[in-house]
Amino acid sequence: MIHALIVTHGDLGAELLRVVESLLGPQEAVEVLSNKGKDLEGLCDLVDAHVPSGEEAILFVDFCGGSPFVACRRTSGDKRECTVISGVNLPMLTSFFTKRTKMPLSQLLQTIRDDAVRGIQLSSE
Amino acid sequence: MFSKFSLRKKKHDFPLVRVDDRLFHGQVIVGWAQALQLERLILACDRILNEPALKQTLLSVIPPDIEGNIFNLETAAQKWRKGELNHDRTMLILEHPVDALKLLRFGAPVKTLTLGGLHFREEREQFLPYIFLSQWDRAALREIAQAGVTISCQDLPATKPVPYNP
Repeated sequence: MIHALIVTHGDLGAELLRVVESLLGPQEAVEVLSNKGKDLEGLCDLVDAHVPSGEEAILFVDFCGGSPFVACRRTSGDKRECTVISGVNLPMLTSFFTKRTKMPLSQLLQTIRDDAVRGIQLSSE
Repeated sequence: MFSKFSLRKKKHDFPLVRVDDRLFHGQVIVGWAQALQLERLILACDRILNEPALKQTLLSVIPPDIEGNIFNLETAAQKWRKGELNHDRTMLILEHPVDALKLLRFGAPVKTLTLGGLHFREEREQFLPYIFLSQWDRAALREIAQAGVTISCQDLPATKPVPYNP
């Protein structure tokens, strides 16, 4: 099973997962980390320790440019089987948890990105 | 509330020198860079230069309209002395107070230093919610202040600076 690591500012990741599980029920092979109170070096060590070795994983981060993004990108640079995706939102996570056993990692990454973007709509259009 | 205009009118000495152990991150590239319309972000850090993957990632988060550089401490001090850092809206980031002291010893003409973010580590004690200091941090800051540098704490442009008296 493809693993999920959600790394965000504050409690954003924990709340996202809480809401996802209220929609889909409890999920396995998922962990949440926060940058709260951590310098970059400390966060890098934390992410390193939680990325499953030798297993396929997607690292979800809240925005491109924050310390969660930097720390995850640094780790994924060393490990070919994990990929960082930024801009995590509810549609991205519900897509991931409902489709992760149905397709290979490369296809899943494209699919969850498309679903995340499709979730952003203007009422005026 | 501060508008961009009032912040821009406020007098700042460039380069702004900020100690922040998250290096280039949200508070810097969004909080400060947008409010002060920064044109250049420089990280002066010897450690990061030994970690090519991290260096590349840090440079990749700099917004496209801002120039980003990572120099070692000696090079940053040399460039500043030659006047290469103070003619545009530049912020210089240092990882911790000991690096700030090293920059000063390499001859950088630092006049003011802002402590922007120093997070908890086992050897550090809380000074402000966003500033934790070890005995080495405090010793370095004492020496920096003795050299005539004004030190204050401020995490974001809209929060009030807190003077630091070592």
